[in-house]
Amino acid sequence: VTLVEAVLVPERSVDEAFERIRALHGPAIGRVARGYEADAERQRDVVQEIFVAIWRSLPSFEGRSSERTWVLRIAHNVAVSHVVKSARDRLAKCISVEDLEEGRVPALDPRSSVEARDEVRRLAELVRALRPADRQVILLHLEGLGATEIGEVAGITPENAAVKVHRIKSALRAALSTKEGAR
Amino acid sequence: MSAHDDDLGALWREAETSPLPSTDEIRTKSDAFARRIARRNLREYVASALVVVAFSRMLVRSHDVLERVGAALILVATAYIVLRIRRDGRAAPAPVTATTTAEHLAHLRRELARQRDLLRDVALWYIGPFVPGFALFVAASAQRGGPVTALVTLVGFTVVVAGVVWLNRRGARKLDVAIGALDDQESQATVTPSPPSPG
Repeated sequence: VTLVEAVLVPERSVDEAFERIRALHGPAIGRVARGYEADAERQRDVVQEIFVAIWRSLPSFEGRSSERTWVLRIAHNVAVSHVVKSARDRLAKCISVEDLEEGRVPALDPRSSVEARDEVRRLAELVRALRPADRQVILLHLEGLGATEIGEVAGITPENAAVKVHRIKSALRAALSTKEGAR
Repeated sequence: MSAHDDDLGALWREAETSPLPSTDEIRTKSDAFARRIARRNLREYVASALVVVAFSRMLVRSHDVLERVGAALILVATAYIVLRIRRDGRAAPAPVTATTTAEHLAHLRRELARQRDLLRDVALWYIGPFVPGFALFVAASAQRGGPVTALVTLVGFTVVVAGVVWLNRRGARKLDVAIGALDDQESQATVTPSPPSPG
């Protein structure tokens, strides 16, 4: 049951459509939560918030964008809301792409124990340190979205999306390769 | 620009994520959210009804003209506050589905600014309307119990009001920090917004 079919015949299969979204996009939603929250408990909260928003939005889905784009747009908007509402103190500490490029990156947080491998953990922390708009662009790219889809979700032109992705990726690679620099 | 064959993409997808909630859990959470909103609305109505009942009773039964006028003014103030909270006090639901994140952030900024203004101006719109009615109660208590009673009532009222204003202003300052952070990010963004995409 596709999401469009579920919405056209809501009494039949919203549950089934939701189950399908959960199975198909659940891991990506989990990674979106990881991109906004380091703490495992809070990640679970964000994941739940995202799924509740999807559940409540199912009847309004019009099928004019792809299901994945729709799901990720909700996921990112919910996650951004979460940061603005629940983690305002961290918002002011977010770094720009320029900071990342110039090596002004945060020290490794010893509390973020969700990711086992050091490199994986460092990447997550660098991504989480970015400002929400930049963070979203790179998270969508890391999920495999193209520039057009990223632009659709983020509200920027595909050209801008491509430029941003390129810059952020280069800066992330550089920051990861000089691990010890900022600690 | 696919990330599937990308080293960073592979690294990103390598980490474990939180376990997914079940459909039943989500349904329960969604229902609980709707119930919470209904309970909040009910609480607001009950609190307003209690004030209306108490001061209507005073308006009808009191033999003191000052008290009766004071009660009438408190009722008018209560009606104004209820209408004001209904109009401005509730957060507009965040349109998470139909908007791009740029629009969503703009919505969040507007919401934060609205909340900040309400908190910052609480003395004007929330406490101010009750002052005339309360002043008459103080005058009535001065007539009945003497200046000491009136002074105690006045000091008590002032302390409570000062505490409420201080707490709200502190909340407003915290919101200002968040708004400043959002503005800062927006001003440094190098992107051009594109038209919203369909949902």
